Formats: sequence, C-alpha cells, structure tokens
Amino acid sequence: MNLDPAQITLVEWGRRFGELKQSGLPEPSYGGPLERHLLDGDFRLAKLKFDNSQAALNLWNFLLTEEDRLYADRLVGRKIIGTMKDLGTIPVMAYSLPDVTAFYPDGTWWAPCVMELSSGVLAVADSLGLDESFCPVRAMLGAFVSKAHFPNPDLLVCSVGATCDDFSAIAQRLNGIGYPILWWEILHRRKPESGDVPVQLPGGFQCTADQVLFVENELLRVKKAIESLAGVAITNDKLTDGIRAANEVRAILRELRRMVFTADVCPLPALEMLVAEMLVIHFCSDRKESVIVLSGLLAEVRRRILLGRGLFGSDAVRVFWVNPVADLRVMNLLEECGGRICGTDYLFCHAFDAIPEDVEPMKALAMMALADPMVGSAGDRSQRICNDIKYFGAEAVVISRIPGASHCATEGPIIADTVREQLGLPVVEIEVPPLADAMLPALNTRLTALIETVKAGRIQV
Amino acid sequence: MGLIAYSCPYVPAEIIAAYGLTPSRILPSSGSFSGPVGVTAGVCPYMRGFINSACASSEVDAIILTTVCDQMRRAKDYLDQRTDIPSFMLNVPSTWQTAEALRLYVSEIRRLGHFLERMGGQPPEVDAMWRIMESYDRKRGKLRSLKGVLPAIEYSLAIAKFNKSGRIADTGVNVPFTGKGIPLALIGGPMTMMDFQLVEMVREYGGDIVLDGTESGERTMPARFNFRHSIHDDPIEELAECYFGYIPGVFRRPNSELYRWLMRELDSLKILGVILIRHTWCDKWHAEVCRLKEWLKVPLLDIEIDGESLIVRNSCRIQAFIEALS
Ligand code: SF4
Ligand code: SF4
Repeated sequence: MNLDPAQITLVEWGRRFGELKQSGLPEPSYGGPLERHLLDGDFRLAKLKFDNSQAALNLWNFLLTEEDRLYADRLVGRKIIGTMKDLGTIPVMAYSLPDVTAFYPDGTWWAPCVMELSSGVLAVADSLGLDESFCPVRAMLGAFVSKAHFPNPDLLVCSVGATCDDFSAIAQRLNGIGYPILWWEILHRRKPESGDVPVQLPGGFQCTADQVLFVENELLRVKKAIESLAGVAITNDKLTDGIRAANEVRAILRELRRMVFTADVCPLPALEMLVAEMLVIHFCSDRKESVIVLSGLLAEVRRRILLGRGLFGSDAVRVFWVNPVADLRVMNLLEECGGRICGTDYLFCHAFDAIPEDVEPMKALAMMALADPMVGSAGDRSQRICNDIKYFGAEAVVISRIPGASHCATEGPIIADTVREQLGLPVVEIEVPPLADAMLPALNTRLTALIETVKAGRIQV
Repeated sequence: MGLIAYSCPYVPAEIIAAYGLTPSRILPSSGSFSGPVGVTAGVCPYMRGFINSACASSEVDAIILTTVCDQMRRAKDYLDQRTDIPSFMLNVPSTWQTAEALRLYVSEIRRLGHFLERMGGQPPEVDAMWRIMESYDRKRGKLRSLKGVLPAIEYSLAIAKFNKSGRIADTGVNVPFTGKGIPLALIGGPMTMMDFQLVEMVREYGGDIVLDGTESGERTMPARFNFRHSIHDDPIEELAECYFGYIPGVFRRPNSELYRWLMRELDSLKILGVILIRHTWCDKWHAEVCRLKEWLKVPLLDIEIDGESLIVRNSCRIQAFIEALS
C-alpha cells in the first residue's frame, strides 16, 4: 500500500499502522505501532511529524528498540562494550567478533529531548555537578547512574586528546564515581610539515604517517582489551571482514544521502535522514539489521524519485545543516518554514566515508579516527563543509549551536565566515536546547528569514 | 631576539631559550575582549585574555598553544584565520600511563624545535642544551627556596614573573613568613593578573593562602632535572620526563595524579579550607568541583570568574566561607 509521501503525526501513524497491518504488513521482530514507544516515556514523539512510509516505520522502530536489544544481548551472554566519543571507529572493531555488541552511551544525548526531560537523567547529572553549562551529553552520566537506559557495559572505552572538553570532563567524572575506563588518545590532526610522510585520509584531510602509527598503536590497546573480554582474537581476517561489512552500511548511507540531497523534490524528510545517519556510527547495536533498515529506506527513496513524488514542493530552499539539534522537533520546523535538508555535518560525517580496504585493517581504522572533522582545525571542518555544500547544491547554511559545547563558541563564527567568503551563501546561527518549545517562535523567525533571503535572491537571479 | 609567547605549563621554556629565542609564559591582565577573540558566549575568558593580550603585544613574534583543553586547541583557529602571527600547536597527550604518550611528547618537543628554527632560532648543540637546562634548574631552585619565605601568593607572583621573563626578583626576605590567618589552599585553572585581587579579599577576611595549586602557581613547576646523565644523553628526554612526566594536570586521563598531589600538599600544610578558582566555560575544572567536594576532608568554596570583574558576590562568599571556618 504505497501512499504519496507525506509527514504524519503519531496518531495518524496509529491509523496507518492498522491499515498496513490489515494489508499484510511484513514486520521485523522489533516492529509494532510507533505509539507504543510513548509508554516507554518517549513523549516527544507525540510532537513530531514522521514520514509515512513503511521504511520509515521500520527505521523508527529499529532506533527506539535499541535498549531492548542491548538488554537481550546481555541475557544471552554477548559482551557489551560502551564506546565513547570516537563516533564510528571502535564499533567497527567490536562488531568484527560475533559475540560482541558495541554501543554509544553518548547516544543518551537525545534522551532529554525524546523523553521530554521525564527521564531524570539531567537532574542526576546536575546533582553530580554537571549543570547546563555542559553539552547535553551530560545526560549520559545520569543514564549510567540511574541504570535505566542501557545495561552496564562489560568494557568502557573513551577517546581523549583532541576531543571536546565537555566529553572529556564528563567521562572523567564517570570514572571518578567508579566506572573504569580505558582511555585512548586521539591526536589533534595536523598537516604534514617538511620531513613528514603525508597521508591522505578518507574525506580529504591530510595528516602524517607518524600520527597514523600513533593512533594505530592506541587502537591496538583497545583491540587487546576487547579480545581479552571476548576471549577471542580479532584476527586481521576478521577485522577485514568487519571493515567490509561496515563499508556496506556506509555505502548505502552515502547513496541515500546523495539521492535525497540532490533530488529535485525532497524524497525523505530531515528527521528520518538524521536517524538514518545515526545508524552508521554503531549500527544501532545490530549491524545486519541496520543494512536491512537502510536498504528499505533507499528503496523507498528510489521509488519516490522514479515516480517523481516528494515532499515540500520543488521550491523548498536547500539547506545545509551543521551540528545535530538537541531537540528533534527543530528538524520539522525547518521544513515548516519552507526549507529542506540538502547536506549535513552532524559531527560524524567521517563515518560515511569508506574505510580504506587497501591497507592493513588496523591502519585503516587509525586513518578513519584521524579523519574525524572534530579532531582537526575548524578550518579543515569548514573546508569539508564547503565541499559538501557544493556537491549537494545547498543554497543556505544553518549552524546549530549545541548548548554548552566547548567547540561551538569558537567554531561557529569560523565556519560561517568561510562559507560566506568561499560560497557567498547566507548563514544563520541558532542555538537549540533539548526542549526548544519556548524558543520555537524565535527559531521560526530566524529560519524563515533565512528561507526568505534565499527566495528573494532567486527572484533577483 | 624573537619573543615566543605561551601559556601552558607543558611548554618547556628551556627549548625556546636553547634555540636563542625568548620564552615568555604570559598571564593576561584580564579576559580582554579586544583582539581576534571577540565577544562570543561560550569562550573561556582566560583563553580570550591570553590570545588577545599576546596578539596586542608588538614584542610577540610567535605563539605556542597546546592541546590540553579544547578552548586552547581551537584558539589556533582564531590565530590562523584572523591574524598573521605564526603559531604552533604542541600536541600534549591527555593519556599518560603508556610509554607511547611520553614518546609522543618527546617527538612534539622536537617538532617544536623545527618551528623555532623557522622563527629564526638556531638548533642548539647537545651540551649547550644541557647548560641552558642547568641554568633554568638553578633559577628554579632559587625560586623554590622562596616557598614558605614569601606568602604563597607572592611566591606565585615570583613564579609568574620568572615564567614571563626568566628573572627572579630579589625579595630581600629571608625570614619565613608566618601567616596568622586561617590556612587555605587555592586550586584551579590559571589566574589572570586581575584574579590575584581575590587573594587580597581572602587576606582581608582573615584567611591565609598557604598553597597556590592553580595553574599559575607552584603545582605546574617542572621537576628538577637529573644531571647525572652522560653529556651525550638526549636532553629532550630529560625535559619530557620532568615536564610531561611530572606536572599534575586536570586534563590528564585519568587525572588521579592531580588528586595525589593535592592530598600530599593539603596534609603537609594542615590546610583547613580550599578555594577553587575556575573560569566561566572551563569544563575541565568545572567538572571537578563536585568530585573535589566529595573527596576533600575540608570544605571547598567554588569561585567562578568571568575575566571582566571579580564580582561583589564573590567577595561576600569568600567572607562567609572564612567566617564559617573561624
Ligand atoms: S555535541 Fe559537541 S560538546 Fe557535546 S559531546 Fe559531542 S562533540 Fe562534545
Ligand atoms: S581555564 Fe580551562 S578552558 Fe580556559 S584555557 Fe585554561 S583549561 Fe582551557
């Protein structure tokens, strides 16, 4: 039963789910009506608008059942690794072993929004001295202490060094209250100087062979810890297979991004694209299923493009979005204001790049870790953003500041200056808290002004 | 001689001096807004003050930054995008329990040497490097002899002066200072010159700072060098041991050495209260406040400073804190 693409509410999804069921909807094990997640406290869902495709239903259900999968994995004796901060590297290694699951406790970042502050994780973080001057990732500390969001991992690893202060400080607090952490160093990526052997990284940045070697050795420490936990060696063959499997997921996502962001009419809304991108960093705790879910979305997008169907009309303004929003509702808002997403940098765009398969696997992972835009300069990150804007043909840029984040204050102005200088596009900076309801009118004004600026420019042209 | 400005204690002055340049570890006068780092919410006032004051000085030829915090790491973006001042980013690892971390620091010091060469410095012979280290060590020995002779904050000011200029003020004092107030410790991030006025407040209300564990104080002095090496041994490795391997920092992961240092000092000085000074938006120190409160056996007062004014509220809080300890 294929309808025209549309965004529908949770209640409307209830009706649509019934219809799909009646028409013999094949459901995955984590399937079911979206509304049931309200009972788990995911109250924000009631205020969001969702894509009406079955592929989107599977995507949301897959995302919102991750906690159940983690607890189920614990019950069957799989080893659980909490991997923190690196966004996309350690899970590739962990999923190379059959009985290991890796997840990001950092994912609790969105819990205050999704649960509309009902989870109490921020209150716990507050009580441990981490107030709203820290990034919303402080929710992670609350989640560990309340033990209500994920099973206690068998091993916790965290990258430090060229990372934000927020995460480093919060992870140290976690360590201070008794959670052992294996710290590994990620270097500040630098350009080769005379005498250095240059290395070209996925995504286009450069670093040096020494830096790659250093990070490779750090990753070896993590590998040893995972092996000793699992009681199985991560051989080069296993790791190579793991990299290949991760690349399969990444390739689907890249194609999805290319098709959605370059289509004449938007075939998939911003919110679903954001969730799809998130799946890549740790496969939402099930690598095989993430391939199925993303392939489903890609098939739906292809179908829509082929039929010339889409959302928001062909004059929707093509917006490149920088940084994730703490309140998912704001992605809907952009579309209500007349925009559509055509390009993103949600802090982990390196996780979409193919991991090199023509070098030793540990070296390939080290190169991936160093390709993270956040471990280099804001100049580097701005350049990648400009390249992507050109590739996807975006007409305007929104830089969404993350409350409290140590990098946002310095980075935002530099990214904005670079985009204006190199591309002459309008840029707006906004700040989005975990629950932005009170700020929606102000955000609406700023986003509308940006959209109107682009439309006025089109008329002049 | 080119003046090389820096603020991080993990930058060895000796290496800059050995290349024939002038090291100057600057404490900004305040969190000044005028310069490449303007008025932006979320920016650490100390970082802003340091960058703006280094850029304002016509004597500064280059700036060295380090990776010990994200704010300073990203300050390089401001320098690259908004000024012509050459700058260098020294990668100081946050991890410290592996031999690789120390080796990385050693290689970074060598890389700094190449930068200094580009700034007009001359690579030193090995024995010349040892001699410079000896000279610094001697001066630091003299500085250390002032501990307990000068009130703790004057001792810190003497350290700050030495870090800035390489000179030690002749205090003319040789009788140990015996304070009569309540013995207190200061800990926290680096202080701007303006922040030293806080100490006056403490004194006024009957407290005595007997330990300055802020980043500008004695905590961040390197260890004494070991000169029992052969003259052919690599002096950079000794520098690395005494800086990277010794100075306890809040940014270290884990930062247990900072706590060990504190425990030792607090016990030996019989301190009755601790004042933590942290700059607005400094996550690394902010996250330690609660943990320190749980860990310390004495009360802790948390003072947040914004780089603009010392805020009357802080004065009242310091007064109340000291009264409660009396
Ligand atoms: S959102 Fe920014 S500040 Fe927060 S954890 Fe991620 S990188 Fe760090
Ligand atoms: S005070 Fe804190 S945030 Fe500021 S420069 Fe120092 S360590 Fe970084």
